[in-house]
Amino acid sequence: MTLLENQDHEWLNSRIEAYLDGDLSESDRVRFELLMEAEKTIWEDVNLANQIVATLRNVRDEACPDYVLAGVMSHVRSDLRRSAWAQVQSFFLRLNAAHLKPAFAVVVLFLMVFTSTQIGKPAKESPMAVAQALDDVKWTLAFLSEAGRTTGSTVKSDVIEDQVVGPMSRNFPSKSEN
Amino acid sequence: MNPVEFNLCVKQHQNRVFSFCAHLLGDKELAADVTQDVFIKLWEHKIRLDPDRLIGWLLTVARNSCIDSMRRKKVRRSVKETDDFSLDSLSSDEIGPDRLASNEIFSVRLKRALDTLGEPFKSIVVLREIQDYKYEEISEVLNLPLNTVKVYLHRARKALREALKNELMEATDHDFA
Repeated sequence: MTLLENQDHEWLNSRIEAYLDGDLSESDRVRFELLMEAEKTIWEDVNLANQIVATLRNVRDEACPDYVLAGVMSHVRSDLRRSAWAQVQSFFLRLNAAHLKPAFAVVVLFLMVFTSTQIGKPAKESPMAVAQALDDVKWTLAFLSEAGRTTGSTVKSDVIEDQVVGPMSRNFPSKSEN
Repeated sequence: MNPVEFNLCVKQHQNRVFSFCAHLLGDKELAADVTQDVFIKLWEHKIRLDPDRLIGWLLTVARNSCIDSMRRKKVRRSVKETDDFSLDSLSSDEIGPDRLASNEIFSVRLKRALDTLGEPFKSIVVLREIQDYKYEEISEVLNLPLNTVKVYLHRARKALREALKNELMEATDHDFA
């Protein structure tokens, strides 16, 4: 049997949370504690409420599984790749945009004119290249001269001596022989 | 936010978000999926948030995702599923074996009672009593007025007490039977 009036019981019941949170005024807190001592069920409720709060506050944060971070970062990397590719695509799309077409045509025209002015124009001479070319010519002429000299002496010894000089000597004896 | 900063941000907040989701859903695997989605949303929205307000934004998105997930998959939480967080994560420092056993039984019953709470009562209890957020922070996460948060928390605690008293009475009846 409760020792309290109904209104006291209701008053207590509605203030359990405020009492636990320390939100009651000093006079209310004193009244609450006096009434609580007289009412066992309220005392049990306060005890249970304390136990609930204490138990919940002992629950620690769970460690998040490693695959969550791995999955998130994998998404970030693929997103970065996608956005880099999108930037390249948008650059080319902008290049193809209508207002850039005339500029592109001017560049092409300039390249065509420049190329045509270069056709048939003699290459610029560099002093090194000229010296090298003259050297090559000298060596070529020297080689040809040597080749001519060798060929001439061979012809003289192999053909002219035997076939021309010999018979002529025989047919026209020298004055000393006469 | 560049990828390096983002990586640090995920490492800093992932346990908090994951725990919150695990408490709301009562399913670690589903909580991990929701946590991953929350951080992907943060990256995709390219939001520049004040670091102090970031966790609030993450918890708001996590809660909405959990509610969507519960609606979509119609999670039916069995006792086995709901027990895992309370038994695994309850601090057992400086508690004797008998006390620990009774604490575990109590925490199982408490978790069961917590699962009977609807939204936003459950979120308020998790944020206030388990994750130790201030009323102002909870009000911001849940987008509720401060006084409403306080009133809802009081109602949720009362509901928990009633549910636990019923559990204890049923257990006592069962023992006598």
